[in-house]
Amino acid sequence: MNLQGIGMVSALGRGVETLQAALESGPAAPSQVAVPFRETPFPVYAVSAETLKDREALKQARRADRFSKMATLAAVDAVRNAQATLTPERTGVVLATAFGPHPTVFSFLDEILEFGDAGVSPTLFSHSVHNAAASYISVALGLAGPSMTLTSFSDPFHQGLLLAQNWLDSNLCDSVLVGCTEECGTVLDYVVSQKLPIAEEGAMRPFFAPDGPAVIPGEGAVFFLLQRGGQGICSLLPAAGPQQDCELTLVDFESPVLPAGPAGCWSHLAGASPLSAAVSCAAGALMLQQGMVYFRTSLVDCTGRGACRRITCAGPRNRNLHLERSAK
Amino acid sequence: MAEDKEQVLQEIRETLKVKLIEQLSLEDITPEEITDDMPLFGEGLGLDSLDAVEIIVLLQRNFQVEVKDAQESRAIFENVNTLAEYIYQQKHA
Amino acid sequence: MTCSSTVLITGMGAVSAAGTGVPETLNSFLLPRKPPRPFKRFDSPIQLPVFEVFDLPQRPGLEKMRTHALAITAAREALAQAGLQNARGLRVGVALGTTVASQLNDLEFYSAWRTEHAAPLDAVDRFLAGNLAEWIAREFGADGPAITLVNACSSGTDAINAAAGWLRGGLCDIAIAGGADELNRVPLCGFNALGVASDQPCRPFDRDRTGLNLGEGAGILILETASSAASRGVRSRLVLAGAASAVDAYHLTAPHPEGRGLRRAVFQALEMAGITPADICFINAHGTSTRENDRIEGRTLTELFGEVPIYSTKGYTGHTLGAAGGLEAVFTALGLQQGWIPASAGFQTLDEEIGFFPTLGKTEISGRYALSTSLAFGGSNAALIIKLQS
Repeated sequence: MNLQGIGMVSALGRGVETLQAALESGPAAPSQVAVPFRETPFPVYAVSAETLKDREALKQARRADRFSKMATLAAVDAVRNAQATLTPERTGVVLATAFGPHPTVFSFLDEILEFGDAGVSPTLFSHSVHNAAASYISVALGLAGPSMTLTSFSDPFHQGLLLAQNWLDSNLCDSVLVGCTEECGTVLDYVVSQKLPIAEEGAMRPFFAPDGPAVIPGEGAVFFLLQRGGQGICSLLPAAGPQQDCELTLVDFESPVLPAGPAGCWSHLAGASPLSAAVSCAAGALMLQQGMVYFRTSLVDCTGRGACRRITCAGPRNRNLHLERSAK
Repeated sequence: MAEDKEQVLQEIRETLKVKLIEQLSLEDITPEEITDDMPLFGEGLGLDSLDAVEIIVLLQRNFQVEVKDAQESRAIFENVNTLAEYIYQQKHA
Repeated sequence: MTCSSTVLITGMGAVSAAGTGVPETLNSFLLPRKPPRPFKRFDSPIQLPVFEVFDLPQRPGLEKMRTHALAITAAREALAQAGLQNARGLRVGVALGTTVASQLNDLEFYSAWRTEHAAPLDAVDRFLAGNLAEWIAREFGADGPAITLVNACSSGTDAINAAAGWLRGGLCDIAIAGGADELNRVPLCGFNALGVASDQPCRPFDRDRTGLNLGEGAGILILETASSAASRGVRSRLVLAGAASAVDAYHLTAPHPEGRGLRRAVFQALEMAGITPADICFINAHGTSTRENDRIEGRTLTELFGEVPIYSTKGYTGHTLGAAGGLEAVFTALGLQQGWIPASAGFQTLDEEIGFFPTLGKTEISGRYALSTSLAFGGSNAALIIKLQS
């Protein structure tokens, strides 16, 4: 598969350029939000309301919730980034998520508890269904091919890529938009605060850090436009093993160990979330595209610079992604 | 009496317009731009089937008025005038 | 399609209000339908009739994971028929559709959270451990691809489609595919608010239909490459010959007026099977009994297929949401295998706007190919074609 374009919406802002900037300068400070479960503000990498404003791309999405807006903008941006013209019925959409639009689910539960079973909003209900976001994507881009929304806790991005690869290999599609979307919300913030140490001072630590992890929840959407052939940013292959002549391994912040050899960890530049594998992949693709490598594991320092041809994004259970720079 | 009714209807219409914009997330339109006889569906305000069921909830929550019959709702939901008239009837019948 | 890419159906499992297990289901298809009743398992002022499963085997630890209990019941039946105890040592994928199990919608947890801004996390832990496909994969030791498809009411059909793609693409040799969903207060409130849930027993394609009844269940197929089945010495005449999915790109909750996505999904599935509409001997329609779905689906199908027998099994099972596609794939396969399909329960009066009579009683069929269709929220449409090999 060839990666033609990337779209990303996160606390860093909108557009894959924001990830490039964060790779160079490190992440901005998280926002501190008031939460009901503790007295002190809670750090979170939240997508700002300003980032989600786009009358043109969202003109048929007046009712859309934040989850759907993040997904739609990232998908639209991936197509723009690729400067691609899509054939509607030959373009597929795969949206992979671990948690789906849970704040909308909770808003719907609020309605049941406040207005009673028979007094709830049908609009909220229809947005609490996971595939609402993919529906907005197909409307925004006028697509007519297959569309699947899937959930997985262990490796949503990898599973989504396998499906996309299947559609391209079997000639069902010429292009597939595959992406991940996750949203933050107070309830999930609470759950995270109960389960993991929070990086109160702002500096997150990956799971493989000697003193253990410290996280700040993040949210957003990352989409990739993939095609079978054609020159693109890089080739992308889900694979079960190592990549030959791999020059850099990008690990997920949830990885318990750091692999031997040159390695980097950028998956939590926009906060900790199941988006991490997709963020890592986007970071790797940018490095290949820019001919620059950032291989420090700390989020503050980036020391390495130099051309690189092959990057492996290491996933759990040996589910890796092999990225190779396109020959120019 | 007639004047009273007209005044009540006017208040209902104004509240309705604000609530329609708020609860149906209508963009690029102000309450003043929604005229009393502007069709809600199709050409006009451009609402759809999902808005129609949302309006039922809007009427329940803001006016404590129930719409039970889907067929009946078609005539009621024609424009702000018919909605206001229905609310008035239910409240003052 | 080459022989190596042939996807066989080597096992089937079904649980719904129509019966726990395939034999009981077939039996109840021959009887007058059991009417739906207001739900007893939770308190709700919404007293709408639903199709509940009453004799689901109790499974310790799954008291609050009913979707999983439904799924495991159907999966065990399907695996047993395929001659498998578990998936260990084989390359097995899991693709399952659901709606309820994909959401953290535990009202008990959430009300506690709202009041206290703290709550015991057991509901969250159940949710985190309970991704349906991952859970079933762990249960049976499957280590291939695992995805939970959440395409609303076409989830089960889409899951089967995705799994068939894995088999053809060589990602695994066997797949546990289908869907499962439980009756739950949250979607009951939602469908009621949408104005599509009926206070009467549903009557798919009938002129006087007033909406759907929710149901629950699980329908699971064991899909297997011909070479894997051959190497295990397992035979099956049932083939998943075509599968496709296409979006309307029209509206979040309303189908496209001309059934745009449905047409495309059906044509793609026909193309994949290498057949024409004339080869289809019956259609298990989505037929939810809502005004819109039945009008658009019914008109589209008659336009494409003419006089082919069409039925909806929602009159026996209710609308089982994420399970529907899985259950109806099983029912479609059974129709071909048994040589008959049941009456489209609940139908009485022709709707001129739709223009066809669904099956009025047990209907003998002869032919090798059958179609099952699904339409969903979000403008998702999916079609499966099953073939009976000689």
